[in-house]
Amino acid sequence: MATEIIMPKMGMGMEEGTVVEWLKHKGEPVKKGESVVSISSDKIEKDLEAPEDGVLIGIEAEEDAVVPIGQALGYIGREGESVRGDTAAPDKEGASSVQTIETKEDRAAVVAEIVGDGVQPRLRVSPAARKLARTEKIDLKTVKGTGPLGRITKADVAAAADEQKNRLPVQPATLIKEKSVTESSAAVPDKGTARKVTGMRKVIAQRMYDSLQQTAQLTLQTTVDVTDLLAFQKTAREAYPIDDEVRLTITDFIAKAVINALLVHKEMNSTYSDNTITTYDGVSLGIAVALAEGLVVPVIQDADKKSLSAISREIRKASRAAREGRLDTLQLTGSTFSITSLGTYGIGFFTPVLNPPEIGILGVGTISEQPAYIGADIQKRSFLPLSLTFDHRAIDGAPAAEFLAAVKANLEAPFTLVL
Amino acid sequence: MQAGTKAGTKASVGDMTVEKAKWIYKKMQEIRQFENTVHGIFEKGEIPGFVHLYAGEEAVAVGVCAHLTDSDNITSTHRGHGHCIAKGCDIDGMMAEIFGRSTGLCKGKGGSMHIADVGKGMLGANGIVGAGLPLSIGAGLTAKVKKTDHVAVCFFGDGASNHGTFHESVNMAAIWKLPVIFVCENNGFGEASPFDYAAACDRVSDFAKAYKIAGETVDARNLQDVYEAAGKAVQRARKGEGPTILECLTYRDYGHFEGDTQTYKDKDVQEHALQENDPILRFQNYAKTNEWLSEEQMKAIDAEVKTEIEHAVKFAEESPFPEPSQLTTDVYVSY
Amino acid sequence: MAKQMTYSEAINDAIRLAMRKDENVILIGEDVAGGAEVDHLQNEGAWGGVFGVTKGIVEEFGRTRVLDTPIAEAGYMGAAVSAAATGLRPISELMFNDFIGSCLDEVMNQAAKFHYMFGGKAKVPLTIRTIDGAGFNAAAQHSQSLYALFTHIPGLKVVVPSSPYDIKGLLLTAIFDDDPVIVFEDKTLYGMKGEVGEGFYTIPFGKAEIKRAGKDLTIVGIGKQVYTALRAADQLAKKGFEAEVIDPRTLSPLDEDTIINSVKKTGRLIIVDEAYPRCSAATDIAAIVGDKAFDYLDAPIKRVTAPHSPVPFSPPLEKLYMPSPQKIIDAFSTMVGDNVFTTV
Repeated sequence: MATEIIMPKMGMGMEEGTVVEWLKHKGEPVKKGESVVSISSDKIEKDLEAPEDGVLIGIEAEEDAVVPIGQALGYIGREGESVRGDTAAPDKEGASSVQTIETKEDRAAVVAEIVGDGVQPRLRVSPAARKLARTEKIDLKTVKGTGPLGRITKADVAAAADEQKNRLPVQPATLIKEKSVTESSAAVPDKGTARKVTGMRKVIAQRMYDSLQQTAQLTLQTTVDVTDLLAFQKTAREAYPIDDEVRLTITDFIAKAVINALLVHKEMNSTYSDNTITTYDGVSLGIAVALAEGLVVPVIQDADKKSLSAISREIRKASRAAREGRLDTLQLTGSTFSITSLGTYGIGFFTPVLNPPEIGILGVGTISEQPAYIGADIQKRSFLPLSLTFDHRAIDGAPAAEFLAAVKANLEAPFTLVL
Repeated sequence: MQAGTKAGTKASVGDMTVEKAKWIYKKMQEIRQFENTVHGIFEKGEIPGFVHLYAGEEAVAVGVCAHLTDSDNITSTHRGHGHCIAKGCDIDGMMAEIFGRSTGLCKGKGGSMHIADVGKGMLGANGIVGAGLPLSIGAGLTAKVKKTDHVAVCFFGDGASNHGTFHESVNMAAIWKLPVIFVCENNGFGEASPFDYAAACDRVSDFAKAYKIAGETVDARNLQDVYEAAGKAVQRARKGEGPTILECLTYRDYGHFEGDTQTYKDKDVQEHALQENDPILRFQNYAKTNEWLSEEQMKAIDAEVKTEIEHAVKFAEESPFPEPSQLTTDVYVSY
Repeated sequence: MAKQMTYSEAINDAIRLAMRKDENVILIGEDVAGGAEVDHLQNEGAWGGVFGVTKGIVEEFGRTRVLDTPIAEAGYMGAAVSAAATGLRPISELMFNDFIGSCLDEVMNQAAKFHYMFGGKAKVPLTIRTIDGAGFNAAAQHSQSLYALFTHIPGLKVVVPSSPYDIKGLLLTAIFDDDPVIVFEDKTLYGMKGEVGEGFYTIPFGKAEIKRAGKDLTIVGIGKQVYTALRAADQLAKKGFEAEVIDPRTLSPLDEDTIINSVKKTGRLIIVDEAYPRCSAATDIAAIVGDKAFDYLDAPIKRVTAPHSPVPFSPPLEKLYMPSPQKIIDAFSTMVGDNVFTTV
């Protein structure tokens, strides 16, 4: 049976997309993963890839056509196969050829393809279908909708439920057994201490959960050779008398390196909310500070207008204020990018979680000494792991990588930070 | 409103008896003291909603209702306390209604503007100007269809005489010869606008000529003028001789509503109304002149009424508010 | 025993039966008898209303109980209200429901309020008969269907009978009900023939009738639109979809249970209403079902109504204005996501 290429949902507010260009013509063979058609929403443009090997046997939507999400753009099938949905007046059965993704694996592949690109498809489900799925314990993500715009109807769930029942009897039995074990162990809690999530924990819980649910975040990692930076820090500290306010820590230098990189790669200095990307000229830098109650992110306002020593002073002041609980709201909001560090805990790379509506956060790990080739020589060098999480809805991989490379370059040429 | 000063000089005293005079005086006192009391309590903020007081117009309600029985119906206005009392509504129940209590005549669901007691022939105070006029036609129609000698009295203000329902109703009562008495309480103002401004006619009773029915205008600060004219009108109605427009020139001692600054009133007229032109004072003189009631008897009635009103206030204050379950009861007789 | 009767004859029959049964029942309105006090006319041959619906009633009951009023809606409607409050059971005819503008106070603030406002001590056993409906080229001031206006007002009962059998039974229920009831007679139904029970019978309020059973779709048709719904159901059946068609018969009270139980079975609901769409009976039913049967809905609720515009005069425009079987089928096709019906 033919497999359809559907207009994917590429953002929260997306209802329809435009076919920009067919990269294959009808009848042309395609390989799985090969780009077939280029589409755009009002936010982004992307190529859709063939979900399987085959031939492009039908085109439903011509170039410039505006197509609701979930609707077929074209079909991939075996050579000579006809597309029932491609005929002028499809009958009822023809319409049900929308059910083209035959196996869970295929479905998962498509979903993975979309998710891998940072786009979460929103399921359209009728209330009745949702209720039946609950009672029949059907995972709606595994059900293909046959209703308008791909809506999952009650009949779709009923069919999925039938299919589930018709599988090997041992399977559901095992499932039920496993489930009941899980349930019973959950029902009788160990001697653990339960505590109600309140206050700051609750806010963090909600914000972190929302961040992971509502953005398309992924993390890039790089290692920075900070041998020269450490030497530079030593010189600078000697030149600049250490007082209570200014200590010129590695974090201060990283902050400055990030600010300078943001001024060049402004697209990273943005926020994403209400389907709108706002890019800022000035940098307000959030610095995550761990407290007993949880995490707060005080903000260095107008950080791009401040010198290294001024930044150092502000970070120290803000950290202290945070620990003493003296931060006011203004000092906690309005950041355009954040830095978080687990360096003091011996952590290398990690995946920081975005602080929405920011679209980027840099995770700083522990500096470690490692042998490295410098030319043909092996030297003892100091390396700093950096992890950049960014929101793929707002920025693509390449520009994000360029930004991270700029941070790396700034840190590896430390004198630029005080210019 | 320029009332005459003919107290006690009327040659004819009609069918007035000592008993009747006593009833009339007591009703007038009840209305006056009831309204003064409500005024005081409203000022203290203990009465919710809108209140429109009848003080000063007592002679109209009492002078007309003196001729009615419980089988006769009246329709009223949003200034209805006086009509209720004159028609025999329970004073405790009225006060409780104004206080919004479950023991009120309408179980606290009507309030000052909607006090009704159908059993007493009181078809309700009405929040809509001019609404009582067609309602009186219905009551008259019932009497005609059922062939009873019951009459319907429509109390309405001079403001309502400019309303379409006045003309629709008078016309219908006239063509069908209905037993309806249209009692216009012309207190000189529709809300704050003077009658002379708002009405093109000289007298509301002038319309009687156009509709070919009986019409008369009386000085309604003078109880016996109202009493006599109403007596004739009710008699005509009972005999099937058709409707009457009885225009009663009176005065509203308080404002349109409680809280009214009354900037539109002439101070001299107000002074005159509250002093020598007070309808109760004038009836006291009349009753004394005719030796129906002595000073002492009237003082005794005053005191009796004071106790009644105090009891009503206590009754209202001590009564419970309606239960929450009453919110949606009595929307329909059955559903 | 049942016999064939028109909708109009069924009304006439019901009024006569009521007036024979109870002498407190009177008929009042503009020319409900017709030609009062015209010497040469007497009672024989009098109009009996502009559509002749009440023809002959004055001959049987006389002009005291069949009362022609001046063209003064506020006056006679108010009179009917308090005649009801003081012991009669008036049937008051508002010639066209569009004229309610002249007497809304009497219906909305008087009739509907007395029982509640007077603490349950007054009752208003008034029946208002009025004419509604488009399709007669009567234009914007004589074609509206304003039942939603009255359904909105607590204290009033609202009846929208669609057949000769129903109008007789529902009108008799209305006349002997102790609350004010407004009965909407669709002018285009007056000539419709159907089986009507002989003698006195009543149909309870708040009991919808399932006109046709089905499992794939529920269609609620209000007033004469129940026939549009039935025609659409026939066409859908040819495509293999069985629609259940429900006639609510009364909008206040509304038989929510029958509608909700049907939607629980079918998962889909279309309401067909020739009234304006905003704040309408259709919208109200949609909200009730969305609220109480949400988990059973398998598609969005659709309303097939007039557009939000006055009723046009020109016949082709008026035809376009009305709901049609095709509009119902189009709505259904958007619900199931199938274009198979658009060519029906």
